Amino acid sequence: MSDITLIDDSEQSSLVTNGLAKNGEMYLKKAGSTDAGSIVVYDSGVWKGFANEYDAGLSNTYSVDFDGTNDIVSGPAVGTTVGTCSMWFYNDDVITTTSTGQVLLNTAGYHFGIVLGSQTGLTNELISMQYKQSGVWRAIGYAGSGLSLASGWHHVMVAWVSNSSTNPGNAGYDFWLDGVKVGNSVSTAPTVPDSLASAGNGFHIGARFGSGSVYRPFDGRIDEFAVWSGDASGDIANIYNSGAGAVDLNSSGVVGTAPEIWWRMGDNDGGAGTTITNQGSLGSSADGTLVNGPTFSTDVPS
Amino acid sequence: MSDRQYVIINAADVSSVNFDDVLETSADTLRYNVAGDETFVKYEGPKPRCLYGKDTLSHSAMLTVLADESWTETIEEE
Repeated sequence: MSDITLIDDSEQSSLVTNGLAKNGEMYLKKAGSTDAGSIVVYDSGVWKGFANEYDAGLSNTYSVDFDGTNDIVSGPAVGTTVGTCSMWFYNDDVITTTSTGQVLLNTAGYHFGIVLGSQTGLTNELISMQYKQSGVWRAIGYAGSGLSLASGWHHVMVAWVSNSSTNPGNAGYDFWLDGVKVGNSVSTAPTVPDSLASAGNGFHIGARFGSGSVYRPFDGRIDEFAVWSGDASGDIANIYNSGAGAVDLNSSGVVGTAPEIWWRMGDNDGGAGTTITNQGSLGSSADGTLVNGPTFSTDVPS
Repeated sequence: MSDRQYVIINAADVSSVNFDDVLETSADTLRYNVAGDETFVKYEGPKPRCLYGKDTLSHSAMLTVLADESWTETIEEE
């Protein structure tokens, strides 16, 4: 049995640059490198990868705890649209269709938000996207009499897809809750936001923030917040990971495209300080900032 | 959140708050009631001197206050 050499990204490049890579030789990617834990094989100038099937998970120690009064994590203005948003959340309260709305995501200036519970625009909404057009609040999302969401960890994804259930035959946002596509309820036309929601004016998670106050704060914890400019819904099964929690969103074995924004909510910041270091492709230009005292928690989805 | 304490203050008293002593980031990030004449700050540990003489609420008591329609608009306007 031959040994397998451990290499990082730099060493992998050097093998090619220095002409040392030989056809058929296998290497194991080191922790911290791209596709860590995967086996790569050099084949006539091309690296062939074999996804790490042993452990698709990722070390996850921290989430961010919002106290439900005014805690926010604020993101800067970045040049990306919200093609897909994915996050884990732990709602301290049971959410029903009559619960006061709690905002998971708000993109400033675009009247856009992912909201748990009752807001406006729909009847019996459990999870919805809120937007304002022509002076009227509208919503799309998951609604229905008697729906409720037990306190606990849940995963939500909202993605802009070419043939949307909320706008049949046309592009629009669709919803996934705990890995399952849900919701096609719409308010009066127009049934989609007038443009793909932008993060160009900044964004917040944990509450709507603007006009001199804080609205609809979320009471609970949020983890593994991610934004793609494109549609990542095809990878929902890998991202949800059967409910087992965090996965490496920068791994090609998990998602087709890495996210622009990926906040690990403390795992890259030692669970301390007031900065959430972005692990997505936009890098530090999309770091988050804890506002009004949210705290790091060691309760994480698993 | 059990060790956090909350204090409701008049909007006119915001200028007297030392934001180094409370958990709120600044005067620009405060949450106000619907009327806009009250806000609140929170702290952990000893009560900040700037809040002496004002009543303190627990986390659960503060959530109860905020659930009232005087603090939560049916539909917020922008």
